[in-house]
Amino acid sequence: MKRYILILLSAVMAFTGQSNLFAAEAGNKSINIVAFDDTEVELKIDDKYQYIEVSELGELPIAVVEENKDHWLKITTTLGESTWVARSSVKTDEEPPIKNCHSIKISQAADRGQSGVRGAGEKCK
Amino acid sequence: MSIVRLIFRALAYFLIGLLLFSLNPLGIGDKGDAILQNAIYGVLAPTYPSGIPSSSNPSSAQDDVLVVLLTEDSIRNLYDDGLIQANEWPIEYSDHANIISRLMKYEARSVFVDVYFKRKRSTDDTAERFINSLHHAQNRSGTKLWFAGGYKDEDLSPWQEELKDNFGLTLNGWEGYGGAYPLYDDAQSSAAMDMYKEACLEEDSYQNCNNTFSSTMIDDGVSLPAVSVRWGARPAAAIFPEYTSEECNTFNWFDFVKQSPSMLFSEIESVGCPYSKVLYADDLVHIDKFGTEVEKARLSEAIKDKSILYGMYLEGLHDTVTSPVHGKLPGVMLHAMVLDNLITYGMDYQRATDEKAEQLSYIAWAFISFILAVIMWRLYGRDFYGKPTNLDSDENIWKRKRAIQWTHRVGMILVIIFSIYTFMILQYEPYNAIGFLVLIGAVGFIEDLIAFLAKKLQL
Repeated sequence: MKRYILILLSAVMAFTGQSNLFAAEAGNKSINIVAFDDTEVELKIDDKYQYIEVSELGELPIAVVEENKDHWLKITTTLGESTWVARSSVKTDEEPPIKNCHSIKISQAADRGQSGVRGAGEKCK
Repeated sequence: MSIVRLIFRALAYFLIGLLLFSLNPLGIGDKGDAILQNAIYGVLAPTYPSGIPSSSNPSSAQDDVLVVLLTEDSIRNLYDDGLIQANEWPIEYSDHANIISRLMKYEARSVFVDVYFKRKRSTDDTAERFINSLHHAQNRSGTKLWFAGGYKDEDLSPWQEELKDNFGLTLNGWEGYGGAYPLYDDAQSSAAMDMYKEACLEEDSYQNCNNTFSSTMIDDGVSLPAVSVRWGARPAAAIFPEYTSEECNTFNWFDFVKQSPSMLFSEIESVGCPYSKVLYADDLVHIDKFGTEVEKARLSEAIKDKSILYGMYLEGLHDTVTSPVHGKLPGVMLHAMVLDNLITYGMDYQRATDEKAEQLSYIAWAFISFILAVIMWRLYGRDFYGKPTNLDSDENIWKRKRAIQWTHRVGMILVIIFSIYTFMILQYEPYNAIGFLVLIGAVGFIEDLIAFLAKKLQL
């Protein structure tokens, strides 16, 4: 009986487009690469960096298997066991970020200044 | 005898001038020159470039030069969108590569990276990727690339050697030039000069290159005077006005004429927007990735075949330059403005004073001294020495006063002629004018002193 209920539930969710609901809640919403920034892309294949023609990666979209903390996306290819591509090199099917505005009035008072040097930053180990 | 007096007087004026120019007490001469230059360049800034775009020549060097700026906002935006690794300065080498390689992707003619890399950071393991990425992009686009190489006597680190061998280093630091920008420092060319060569001395030079340097001048580059930078006050239009929160005022001749007199005598109201075109690093990345076809076409138009300077504008980095019309700007703007000067004026660029200019000013002062001495001799001195007993007479006092007034008038006219000649014909920066005027004022003082002494000594 339980098995039938589960099958029924899955069928309803698939029908209503809610199949990724559990994955999204778990932070694993499926992402697909829909475009590359250039005709060649830098990949990290088995820990080695190399440039590959994007046409060699097969048809788009390409499903992203995993994303690491440095914003590298793992994809499945025949090029190696582990293939990663930087998020900065691709466009995904996620909503694009909203573009922030800048002011082009950039000049400052001639006597503006501080007696200190900018630190190394939080990212430094 | 009176001719001897004339020569003696002229010689006295000349020597006093020579002494003051040589001693430059308290640096007053240099400070006076700097103030005068700032005032004149400030007033003339709205007229830069001299060839105002017209229907026959709709573009100017402003269209050939682009500054790509990485700011606080750029780093934050790029990091928040997951497009760079670092959330704070210094960003990673690969982050720089991410930005610079996009400029090459859009086929920039040349890129100067105004970031001074000294040693490989031990906390950043992306240096090799940085080199590979830029190499890869450069091989496809043919873009010329230089990195900031520091001073002429720089002791290059292995990392700098690597950058030099792979791409190129160019001078971005010097000393002994005051506020001027050298084209060469001991035979090593500076950033703007290297970019100028690529922009105007190659076969497909820019249409806006005027009076291009002859090959002899380049070969003999060491002797080229430094550039006295002319700043423009007509801000470049925003490349993406839809992403611009504040607009710059367009130039208005009525406002300019109204403000000009006050510019000479008071603090110049700063122009908020720089002269050179600016593209923010995050706009570059964002539009390249997510922009519409129209936006990408505009991005391409802004970058393709342009001379690009990539620099930082971050609080606490102290790489800034002060312009006579803008106030403080990012340091990279200085290189951009000099490059603009070179494209616009070519070999007629405004020159900083050099040895020749100094010699010329001595000759000019010798001539002015002689003319002033003639005035004093004709209107006052010839009688003065002959009739010492009449020193206190009303006639004598009146004659002395009148003669000194004439030295002031004629001297001022001569200084103006000299200044216009050296500025407009010889293209030297405004110099020594204040020193000359002080000396002309001193002629009256010296004459008064002579009269006083003559009276005391009963000459």
